Amino acid sequence: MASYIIDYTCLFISYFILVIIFGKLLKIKYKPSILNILLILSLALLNHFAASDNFLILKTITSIFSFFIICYCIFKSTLKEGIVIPLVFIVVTLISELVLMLIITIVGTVNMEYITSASYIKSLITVLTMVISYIIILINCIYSMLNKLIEFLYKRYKYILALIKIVIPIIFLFMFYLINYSGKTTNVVNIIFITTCLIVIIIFVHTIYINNTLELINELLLNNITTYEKVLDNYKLFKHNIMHNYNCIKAVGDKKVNKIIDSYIKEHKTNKYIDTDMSKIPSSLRTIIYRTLIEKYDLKINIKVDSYIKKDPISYLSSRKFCKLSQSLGIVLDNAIEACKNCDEPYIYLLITENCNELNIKVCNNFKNKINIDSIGTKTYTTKEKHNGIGLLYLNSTGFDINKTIRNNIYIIELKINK
Amino acid sequence: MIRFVIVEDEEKCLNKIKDIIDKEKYKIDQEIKTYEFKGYNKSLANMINNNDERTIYILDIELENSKSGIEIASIIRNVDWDSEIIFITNHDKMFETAHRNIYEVFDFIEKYHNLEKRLIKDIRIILSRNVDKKLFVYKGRNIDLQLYLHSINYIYRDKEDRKVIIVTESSSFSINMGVKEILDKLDSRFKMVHRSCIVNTDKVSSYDWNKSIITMVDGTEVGYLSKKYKKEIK
Repeated sequence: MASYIIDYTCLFISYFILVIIFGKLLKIKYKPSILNILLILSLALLNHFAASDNFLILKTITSIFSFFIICYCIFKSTLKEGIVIPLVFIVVTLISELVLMLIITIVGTVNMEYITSASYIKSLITVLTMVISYIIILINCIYSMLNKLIEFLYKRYKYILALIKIVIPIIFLFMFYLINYSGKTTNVVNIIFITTCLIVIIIFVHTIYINNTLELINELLLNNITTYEKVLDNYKLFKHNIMHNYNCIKAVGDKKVNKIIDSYIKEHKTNKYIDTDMSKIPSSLRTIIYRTLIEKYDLKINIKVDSYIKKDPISYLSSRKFCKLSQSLGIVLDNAIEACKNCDEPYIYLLITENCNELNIKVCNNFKNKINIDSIGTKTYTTKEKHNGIGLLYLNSTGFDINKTIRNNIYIIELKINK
Repeated sequence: MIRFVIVEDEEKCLNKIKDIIDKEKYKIDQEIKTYEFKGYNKSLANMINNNDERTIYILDIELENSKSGIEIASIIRNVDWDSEIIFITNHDKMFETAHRNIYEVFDFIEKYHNLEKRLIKDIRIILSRNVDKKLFVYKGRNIDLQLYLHSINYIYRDKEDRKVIIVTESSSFSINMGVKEILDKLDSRFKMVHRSCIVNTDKVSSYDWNKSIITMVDGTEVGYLSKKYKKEIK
């Protein structure tokens, strides 16, 4: 019993030091909290059970699993950091083990069989390894070398990912040959444990894949925004200059010429129906709003946008959430345009506000259709010609808090997005 | 009692509005109380939530270091559709339409142009008129419907769809409710004229009992009229 307690305590201490080392390599200061400590206790327990000779491969899997959990949960690191930093850490521990073995051989003869048989001694050695690793990192020249190694690996991140994708299946292939099934109970426990680990890792990899795809989509969206802003600036300058040129011609032209010039000037006033200072709207939403609304300029819908938020939502929303928000906003605006276009004085109003917990987007429009109140938001129900009725259905599946109200002839939809 | 709630950060304008209200309050029989705020804060939030008394909000749209008048109007309308809102603005009034309809704003007054004249006129109109803000509320599966009673023309049951249809001035809505059930939620101006139809008598132009047709004020003809309900109409 005592050896188990010592074993577990040593494992916990070594994990604690591991977290501090990770923080140092990530250049983030580790701030202990009750949740963090509980997480470390759980991970140490997991590795404690996996740390038997019979389950060597399991120990490897749980160790890798623990590295990722620590990186993500405690330090909120990116995927890149979560893969590169553990690799660098492995290098540091290899160096530490070498140093430790050197010390042992220098100090005197040690019975290696005794060391390998007692698990609590192995745990003590693990603690010593972690302490030595920490001391190594504190040495300035070694720390700067490790930083250079981290940068080197960041640049070759794609190759590391490819290598991991090859190595992990090979580990699993060998795993089934190396695990010892010594009895019925252990068989069942092994199978349950391995299956759970496999499922968690598959979900994890799948999530990484989805996140990578979303990050790519976000990057493209951001590039779109930047390109659009450049084009808009060029267009504004062009319009500004052309107005001056027209006025110059008017000054020297006769009545006929002035009439023609006036008609050209009228054509250029494209923002007649949009009353909004677009610069107040955050740039990540500006593109969606402006492109959706300006494309429908010929419908002569009066549009008003009021925005009262300080930070651009793309800076604090996750990639997945922002993508859903963009899609939802596009759907809501399209619906608003289709609903109000038949009114005598069609209008759309957008209000963007926030509080400390939520981002609020309210879209209001007038309408003239006949509406079946209980069918709104259900599959295939639509009030517009040639539409499928899937827009509002999708909105209901986003997970956002959505309030829909019809007040007299105004349709109000409010999206509440948790920050 | 009537409450005037002024939200204005510019001292000069705030004093001007207070003077206007003070002059008008002696001409009214009811007690008037004025509250002033320089921006949105906890006391204003509490006042908005305690909406037992008739309230007239006078809001400056642009407020420094606070939520804007528009945001405050949005907060007010989350809990209270009965009070009146008057916006004081520097903005071009061209696109008031959206705010006027969505927040049911009584008026937009330009700060530096005829503020006194317009505000006095608006206050007199608000205080003298009978407010009819009775609502018919129906909570659907995914959406809530709120209609002013005065905007409903007639309600009938569609035999084909087997739904009840509420026809208003601009649209129509079909809901899952019985005709008699709806009648219980309406006031005395709504009368049953057919077993499948209720009509807003304030919007009826004439009843043709021979042809069983009701002609509405806007010219629409409704073919649901039964002699059985003649006594109730008269």
